[in-house]
Amino acid sequence: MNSTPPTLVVAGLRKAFRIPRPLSAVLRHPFGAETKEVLRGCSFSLPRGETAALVGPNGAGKTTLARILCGAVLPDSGSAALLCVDVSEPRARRRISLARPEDPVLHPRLTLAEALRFHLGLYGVRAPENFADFGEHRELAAALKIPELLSKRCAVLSAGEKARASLFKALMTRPELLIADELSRVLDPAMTLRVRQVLRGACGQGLTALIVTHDLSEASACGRVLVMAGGEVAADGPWHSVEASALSSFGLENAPSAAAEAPACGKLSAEIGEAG
Amino acid sequence: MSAPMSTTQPGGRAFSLSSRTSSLLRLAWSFLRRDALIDLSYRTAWAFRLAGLFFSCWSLFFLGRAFGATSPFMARFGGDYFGFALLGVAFTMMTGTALSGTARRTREAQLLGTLEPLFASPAPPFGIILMFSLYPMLVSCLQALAFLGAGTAFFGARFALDRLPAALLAVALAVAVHLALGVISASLVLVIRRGDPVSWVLSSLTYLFSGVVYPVEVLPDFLRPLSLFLPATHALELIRCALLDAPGTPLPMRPILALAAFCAVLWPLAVLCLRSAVRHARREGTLPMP
Repeated sequence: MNSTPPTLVVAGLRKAFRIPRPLSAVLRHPFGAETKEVLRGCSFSLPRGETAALVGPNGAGKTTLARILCGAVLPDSGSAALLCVDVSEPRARRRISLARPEDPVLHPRLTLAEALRFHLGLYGVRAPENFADFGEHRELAAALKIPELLSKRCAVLSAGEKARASLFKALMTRPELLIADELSRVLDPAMTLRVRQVLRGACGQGLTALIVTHDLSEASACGRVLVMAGGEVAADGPWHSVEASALSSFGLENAPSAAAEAPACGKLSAEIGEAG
Repeated sequence: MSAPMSTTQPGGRAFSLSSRTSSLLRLAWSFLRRDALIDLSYRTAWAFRLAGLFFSCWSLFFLGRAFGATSPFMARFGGDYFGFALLGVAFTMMTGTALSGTARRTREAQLLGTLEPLFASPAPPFGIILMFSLYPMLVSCLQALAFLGAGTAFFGARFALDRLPAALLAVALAVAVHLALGVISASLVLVIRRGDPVSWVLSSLTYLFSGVVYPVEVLPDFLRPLSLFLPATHALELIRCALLDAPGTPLPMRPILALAAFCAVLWPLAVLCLRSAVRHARREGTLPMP
């Protein structure tokens, strides 16, 4: 039993989106509406410093949950609170960061340094005059190999470089909660390992991380795994206790275990375990 | 990595106000800097823009030579059609940007997918929408100045500058009114996710009935009252009175009162519209949707 008070508490989140109707249906029932329920009472909590993976098949509600946690979408009912403050409030939004491979904040016409400066301005944080000197973020920048990217236009960054830049951008504002949306999808194995080390270090200092992923070997490397299916958390716990649920949610009941399927990633995970 | 979130602000209200002001200024500077960097990276477009200004000025000069002195409607302005039209066009450069710039940039952000991360940041949505128009407004003010400068330097336009403050007041009030209308238009874009009909309709009406390139006295009697419902009519009346009329002519107060009334009605409405539109978009999950 973990005695640390939870950083994030999600309770009974429900969300349905209206879906466009064909013209014939609109003409028959002009005021009718067709909805698709994406979240059906999603509940969980994350204590301070925990790294949890969020896995589930396409359409399980992972992205909607991430968008609600970022304050970009309002739930129909239920609540999500960061340190007892509703995530839709600016005070909570200041402490939540999202990192993803295709980050629209990294405008193609700007250099990475200029895009980072703009992002800090959004958070009301004074940007350093010289981005080559990262001050308190120097180690983080070096670990993610950011200095070599600063003067490049975002348009010429590779997918992996953009993902690293997005993670750096997200961590620069010193969030309480980091949501990493499928970052490892575009990272090479060495950088995947490095990113995991960075996150491990950040979580050691109090960051809470929610890693949205389809990569089961990546999920198995996290201390806790939330399996989403049908808009709710179907299983929650360490990988060995939720593996069957995770595989079943993807329709892979008879597949070999994730680590055996992906020996390279399994080896990396083992390395991280040893390093940690 | 993270610091505990404080629930109270030290120093009370004074601290909160000053920190909010500095956050807003930082936000404004961030948008201004980013938009300038992006815009200045398209250098050829700037060359075409400047050439376009010069040629517009030139064509107005020839129109003035052809029709200005002969028209009885121009008598009040000393037969100076060129100066009359120059002021009208320079004015609509600024108000047009205030009106349509906000909605256009909101739509661009929707299409680029930047609107959702912007609204997910702690910056207030109202501030973000206003900041969208900051750089375009600055550019359009510079363009209007360049336009008037070219008219004066190359084509001999003359303005009475001793009553310039009154003209600037009219411009400031008119920009404020059009900015409020722009925010309402941006709210509509957030909801319907299409080009903005408000700006299009208002711009067309302004060109037709506000006396931008011809005086409202030209309009038929039954259409003339319509011009009173357009803020540009009042602003242009005061601007031309201040810069073109003989120095002894008294400045009318009615345009200032009318523009202030427009502001008093439209700004609260703009705040309400934007708040509802942002809530609607967040509820429907349509912030990033084209």
